[in-house]
This record gives sequence, structure tokens and C-alpha cells, in this order.
Amino acid sequence: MKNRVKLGRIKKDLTQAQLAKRVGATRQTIGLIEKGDYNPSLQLCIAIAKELGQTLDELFWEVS
Amino acid sequence: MKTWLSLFLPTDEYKRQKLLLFIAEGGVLLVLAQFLSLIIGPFESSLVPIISIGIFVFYVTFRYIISGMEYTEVATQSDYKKERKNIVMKSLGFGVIFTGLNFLVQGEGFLIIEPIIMGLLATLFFFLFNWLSLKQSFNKNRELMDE
Repeated sequence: MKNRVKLGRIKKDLTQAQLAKRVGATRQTIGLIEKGDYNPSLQLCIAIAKELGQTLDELFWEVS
Repeated sequence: MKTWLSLFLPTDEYKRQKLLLFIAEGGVLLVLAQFLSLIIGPFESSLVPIISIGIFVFYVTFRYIISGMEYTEVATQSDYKKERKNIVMKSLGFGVIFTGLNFLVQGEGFLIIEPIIMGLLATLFFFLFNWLSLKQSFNKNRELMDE
């Protein structure tokens, strides 16, 4: 699933490891999400959105 | 997901899902092995469960090792070297304990070389499995790392 997590994270000036720690995931999981290789649960999507101060739409809604 | 299995699963959801998948696949293989033994048997009664459990344990362990999800934070050369050193130390520790226990469980009149060779082999395999897992994790993490 394409997403804008990486952009959101860079905007917030966070590293993958920092974001991972804040949302209770591993750095590898954040990397996989950013690359679109893993679709996170809604619970994790919400945790990431809250940490990055963005909505689920802004981070995960695909715009063609 | 509420299951008693959660007690033994990692907290990270990606790892948890993957591990559950490996266990499920292993479970299917275990059932197939049992079923196959019914068709092509009869075998010695104790052999079937031992082989089936062996298939399950080997499959789940092997899938876990090659998935590269054990060392989730190892993404740089220095992390890799540090972790490799840890694995060497862990393997040596394991080898010493394994060999020591092996000596304790030997009956009378055993050859001293036997538990030593067993210990060396166990240490080697322990190291190889951990090193392979580290290598896979490192390669995977490097691809996913921040530029």
C-alpha cells in the first residue's frame, strides 16, 4: 500500500527508530510500511498518524 | 487478536503476524506428515510423532531465520559487527553449558571425546543459525533504512 508516512516522518524530523519507539513497533516494521511492503493494522495506522500530527487520509489515502 | 499464544509472540505486529503464519504453515505440514504416515505406514509407533514434531520445529525455525526479522535494529556495518561479536560470545557460552550438561548425563564408561564433539557441533550450529539470521536481518534492514 502506497503511503506518505516517510514524508510525514521527515517533516516531523524523526528517524525511523524514533517513530518506531513512539508507536511501539520496530524500526524494520516502520521501514516496511514506508516502502509499502507491509499493511499495518488500523491501530498502528492511528498511532503513527497521531505521532506525526496528521490524519489517516493524509497519510494513507491513495490519490491517483 | 486475543489468543493464549500471544504470551509467546513478539509485541511488534509485523513480527507477530509473520510468526503466526509460520506456525500455521508448520501446523499444516505436521498434519500432512501424520496423514502421509497413515497412508504409507505402518511405522514404528514412536517414530511418527518424533518426525512430525521435527518437521514442525525445523520448518518454523528455518522460516524465522531466513525471514530476517530477528535483528530488527541492525542496519549499519558497525551494528552488524557488534551483533556478530555478541553471537560469537553467546555461542561460546552455549557451547560450554551444552558440553557440561552432556558430560553430566553420560553413563559410566563413556568416551571423553563424545560429549566434546557433540558440544563443538552444537556450538557450530548455534553460531551458524544465529549468524544466518543476523545476515538476513542486516540485508533486509539495509534496504529499508533511511537514505
